[in-house]
Amino acid sequence: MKKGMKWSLTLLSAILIIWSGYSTEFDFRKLLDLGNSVEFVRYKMFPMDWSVFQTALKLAWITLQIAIMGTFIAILIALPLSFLAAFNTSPSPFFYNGTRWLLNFFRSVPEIVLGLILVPSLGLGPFPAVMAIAIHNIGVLGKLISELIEAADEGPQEAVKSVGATRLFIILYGILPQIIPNILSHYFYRLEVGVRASLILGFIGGGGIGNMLFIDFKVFNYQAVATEVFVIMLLVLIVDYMGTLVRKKVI
Amino acid sequence: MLLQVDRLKKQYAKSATPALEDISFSVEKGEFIAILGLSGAGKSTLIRCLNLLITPTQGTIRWQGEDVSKIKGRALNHYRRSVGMIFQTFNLLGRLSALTNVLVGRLGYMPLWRALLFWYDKRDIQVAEEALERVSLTHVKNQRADELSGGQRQRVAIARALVQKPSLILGDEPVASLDPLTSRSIMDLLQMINQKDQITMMINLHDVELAKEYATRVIGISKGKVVFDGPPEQLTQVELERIYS
Repeated sequence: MKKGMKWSLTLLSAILIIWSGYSTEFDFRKLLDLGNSVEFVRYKMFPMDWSVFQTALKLAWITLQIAIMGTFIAILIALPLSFLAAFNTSPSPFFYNGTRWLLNFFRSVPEIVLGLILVPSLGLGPFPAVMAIAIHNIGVLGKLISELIEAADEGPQEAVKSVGATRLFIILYGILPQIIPNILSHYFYRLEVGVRASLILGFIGGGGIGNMLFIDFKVFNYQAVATEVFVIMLLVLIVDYMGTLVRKKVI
Repeated sequence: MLLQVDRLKKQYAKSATPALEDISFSVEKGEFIAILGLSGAGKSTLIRCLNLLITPTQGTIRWQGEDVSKIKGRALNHYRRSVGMIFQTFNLLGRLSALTNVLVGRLGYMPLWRALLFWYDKRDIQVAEEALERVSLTHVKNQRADELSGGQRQRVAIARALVQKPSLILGDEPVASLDPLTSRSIMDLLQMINQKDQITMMINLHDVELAKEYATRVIGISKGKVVFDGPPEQLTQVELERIYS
């Protein structure tokens, strides 16, 4: 890189960071007020209200199920689409470009935006949340899997081709067995992310523990909120742990 | 006559000179042909043109009298089914068992739903098990292919080619990544199959000694052209220099 280029890039980054600091009213002195947050947690959130614990657990389970259902539907649809969106398996440029465009579109709409459309139109509850997660993840998983297909070792594909097998068999035997561990790994990662999305979707009426947390927060029932936060932390920890475990196992 | 190649030419789009030019030869049933040549001489391209994994630019390939160089679809699959192929890198599916890898060789005969459900016909399984027995691998049939040694993997690949019930087996440097001892055992196996089943062999080799020992005929290729075609006894120092120059 040329010296002038280097300098202008440094300057540009500096401007961008300082500008962002101003816009977000970033101020180190405000950190001194963090004591307020500690006090808020200590006096408003404690003692925790354990009477809501069971309900919170039940709803946390629904939050997890929303993520499971959403990502499951996503992978079911994304898997066939990704073969159309990979250049080495796509039947024609038309399908290739078409599916890629579709996947990009699905991926570019965040779950929360999909939720804001689907909750009012499909009704409150877990169903629109499932659909929001499904649609976004069709885009994400479709792109990830199509990249796996493109990077698959050509040797086995050539071997399957050489025995006189049809195109579908080449995919089924020449490509899929190679990439299944990576597909699973991507899937479980998206499930982890899906749990977080499912929580946020609860805030806008998508059901699960996110919904409960949001309602209790609105009515200043902070002691219940504390218990719910605790359950959410448990949920995220467990899902992360399980996800890591599974991904380690399948690779 | 099993196979007749006439004025075959392959020109890759990105290359200035053709990879193969004016290749003509014919193959009788039961021959064991070794193809010799430097790396990049066109051996791999030739082997792949024969079963149309690579489409030739010009020329004809006659299989049992019939021109197959332009066939497509089902006819192409049926042709490929009757020609087995083994590779330098074995090209097995590492995560699948040895037996399943051999069953891949039956895919050309299988109805779609069986292959989709991985629910194989008893006869197909029997054929695959017999093939594994012939290559002396019955004891590892349920092991994953990536747990096998190099020699064992190539034997699985040979079994995969055998269950196609081929009339010709093509080999693209099948022993190049094996140690000398294992190489010989693989060549012995191919010779045994060649003699007992009358399956014709066309094998790319870079080891002249192996070619002299096993082949009934040698085709030498240099810069995309045939520069020698005859029995290994005629392979003199002069001829070798012509191939490897």
